[in-house]
Amino acid sequence: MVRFVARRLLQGVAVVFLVATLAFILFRLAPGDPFTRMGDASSASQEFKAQARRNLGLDQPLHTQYFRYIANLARGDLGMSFSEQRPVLRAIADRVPATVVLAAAALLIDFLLGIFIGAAQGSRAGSKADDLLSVLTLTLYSVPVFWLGLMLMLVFAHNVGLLDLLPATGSKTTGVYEYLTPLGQLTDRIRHLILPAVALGLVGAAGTARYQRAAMLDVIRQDFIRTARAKGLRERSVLLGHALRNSLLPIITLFGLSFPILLSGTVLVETVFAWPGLGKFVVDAIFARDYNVVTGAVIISACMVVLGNLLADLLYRAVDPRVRGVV
Amino acid sequence: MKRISSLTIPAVLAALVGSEGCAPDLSCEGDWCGTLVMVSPAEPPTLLPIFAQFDIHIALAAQLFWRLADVGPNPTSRGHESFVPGLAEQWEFSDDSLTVVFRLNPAARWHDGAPVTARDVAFTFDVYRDTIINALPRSRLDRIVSVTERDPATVAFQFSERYPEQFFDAVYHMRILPHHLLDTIPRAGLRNHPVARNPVGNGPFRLRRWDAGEAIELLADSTFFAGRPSVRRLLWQFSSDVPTMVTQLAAGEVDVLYPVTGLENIDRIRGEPDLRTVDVQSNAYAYVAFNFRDPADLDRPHPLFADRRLRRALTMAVDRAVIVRSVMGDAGVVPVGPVTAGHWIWDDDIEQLPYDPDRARTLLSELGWSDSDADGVLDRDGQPLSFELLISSTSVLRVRSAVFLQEQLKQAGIDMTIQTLEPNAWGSRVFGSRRFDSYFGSWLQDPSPGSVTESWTAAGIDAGNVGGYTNSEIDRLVQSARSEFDPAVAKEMWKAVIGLINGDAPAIWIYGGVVTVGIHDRFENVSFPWDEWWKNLWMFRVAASRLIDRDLMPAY
Repeated sequence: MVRFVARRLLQGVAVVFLVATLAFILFRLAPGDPFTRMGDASSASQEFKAQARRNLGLDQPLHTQYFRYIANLARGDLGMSFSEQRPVLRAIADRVPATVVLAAAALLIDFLLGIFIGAAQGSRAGSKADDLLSVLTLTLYSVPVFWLGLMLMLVFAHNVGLLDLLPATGSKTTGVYEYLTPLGQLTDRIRHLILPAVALGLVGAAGTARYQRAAMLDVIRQDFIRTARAKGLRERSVLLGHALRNSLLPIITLFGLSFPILLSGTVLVETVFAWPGLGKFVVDAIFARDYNVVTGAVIISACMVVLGNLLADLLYRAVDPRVRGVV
Repeated sequence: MKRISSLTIPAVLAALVGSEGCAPDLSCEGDWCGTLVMVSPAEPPTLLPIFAQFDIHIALAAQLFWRLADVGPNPTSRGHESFVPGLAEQWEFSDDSLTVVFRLNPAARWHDGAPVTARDVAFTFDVYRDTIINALPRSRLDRIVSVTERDPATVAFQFSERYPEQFFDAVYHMRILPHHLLDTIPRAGLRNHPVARNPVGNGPFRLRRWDAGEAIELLADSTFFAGRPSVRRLLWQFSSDVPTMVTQLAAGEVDVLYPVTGLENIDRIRGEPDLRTVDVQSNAYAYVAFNFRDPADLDRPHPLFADRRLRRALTMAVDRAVIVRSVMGDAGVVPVGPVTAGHWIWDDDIEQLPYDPDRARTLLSELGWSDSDADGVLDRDGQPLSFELLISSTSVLRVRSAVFLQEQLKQAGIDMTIQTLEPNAWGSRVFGSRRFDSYFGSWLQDPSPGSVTESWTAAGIDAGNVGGYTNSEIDRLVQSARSEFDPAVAKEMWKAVIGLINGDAPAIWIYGGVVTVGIHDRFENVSFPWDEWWKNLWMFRVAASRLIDRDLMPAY
């Protein structure tokens, strides 16, 4: 087990290094730099911009910048944010908690709801309920996440929604949150989390349900299910204790693959709901050509994906004895 | 294990949705309550004014740091009579007018309690002039030879020459910094020093907290020497795009959105019962500029736009009033030239090229352009009259205006293709490689007409004048206008400058004038000055009868 984890971590380091290199090179090949836009509607002189570029080492050849970046990266230094004037690691650390909370809540909705719907469909394959849920999940799966977010806002949000139930944007109530009791603060945070998490989670749940339905159908046709039924077990026990449990194996793989999709989804959801997370920060950094922030965020995302996949593999090994011998 | 009731989850959800959180005691009373929540699309990197590069950064720094003096309600950059006191309560020119001595207000204090002194002013000048800091206004301070402390409350500015904008240059470009807190920090490290994001200021508000990516919270300084701010807190939220910010305003989560762009967004805000819109004179104008150099070879003149008559024909083919009305409604103004409405050199009498499609067509015909192949596009020697317009995708108004412009030029037989680029790609083409036919830009003007120099004279070739337009007569007249002490004569000179530029048609001035601000209607004493719309936020107030929960939060 230790050998397996060590090997996967080593592979992960190689992946992260490759991703860092690609992100560094590709982003610097994009037109413009952090000072390009300064010419619009301001009196920034060429001298000013040249000096600013020198200050940040952007006047150096690309390979010099690259080797310096990698050397710093090896020491855990992601560089300075041009737009925030502080270390990238600190700037990202300020945003990661909001994104992790949003992604975790969305993941919870995604898998709980997706597994429940998919299992229900698989166990009643071909029924009217199955057809109806198939149409519903396919529709949800086809919906852009930002559009769903806007629709949820129009129905549920305070003042702008039909039902006037939940806050429209942000992660806490502006100007009031700091004065609430700890319980009040927790409630406030959860209330703000509901709409963005549901928007992100529902679309994911639709995809998960499709996988879960297929996995359930596959398991239900197998001999051990027939044996369980023949032994006289109640249908509920057969479905929940045997079929559902075994059908979860492909879903674990899906869990590992969900991380990058979730991270890209948060970019849109964070924009629609003004959620102060990593996604919005990275989009702003891309427009500002804040190279270090974008490269740093890509590296952090790569680490999260690598760790997510490792977690999925470990879970897989825990629940499926057949793969334990495979290193 | 005890089974969770199937009703438990819905019950918890219902409780969460129904709960508004455990509200604290709402204790603020009197005239000084009120929380003003602003929203902006960008977050500043620091709060030190020396590093300010865009308006939100300047706007926030301005709440914390004040100037020695400021332009008055009718902003002009000339003389000193119309300026209002800031950190300095009095000033006096020497007999030769080469020295101006400021007397600081003894009540002016830093937020840590230390007095604002002449040493702070001298230190500030030194920092702004430092090439390591390389502050954006550094070159605007060229003619100030020295700033010296005469005594703790008196400071003298020495100029190299006498000119009408001496006082403006002395006070407008610098916001005073605390010597006692910044002096020991190496200049090269100041930008990244923690103090840059947690500064001690001298303005109406002090920093309380900065939640990166989310909001900055400022608290009113109740002992502020110029008077207690009328709101107790100023929260500045950072959002992303215009529709999200409009939603935040409509949902009551923020109080002010400057500016609201897009007629549909303005209509939405006007339809909300608790909101109102305020039309504000803007200090920006937008234009379509032509490149005078061939984008394929910058040493050669542009095959189309090097010709003055062609540029004039294009300008006369465009009905700018229709464009402005279509994209901005009644709020828009057609600029009389490269100048914004409200600026002291603006005058409706400035000579402009009229909208005259017949004259445009005649002129084009005289230049040899005709539709020989009947495809709707004029051509000459087998070459169609066609060019490309570059636009940054982030400006909704520019993108929409370009479509109307394209249609109007098409009616005149001119084929303009619109290339919408991501902002950096756009900036790289326009301000970097300068390989473009034309671009849609905008320019912010301060009270000095000197900004005309940066965009439309030979002196601006390395700055804003990326199209490379020059006219030696204009260059000469600009120098004379800048040195002219008689305001009336100077204004006439500037009008002549603008008229000459208009005659050369280096650009088509598309829109400017007024922007619309969305604001919660509980605020009174609302004003947005022309030169800096953020200047009077500290004077906004909420009547006691209109206070909402966030206005009533207890004091710290």
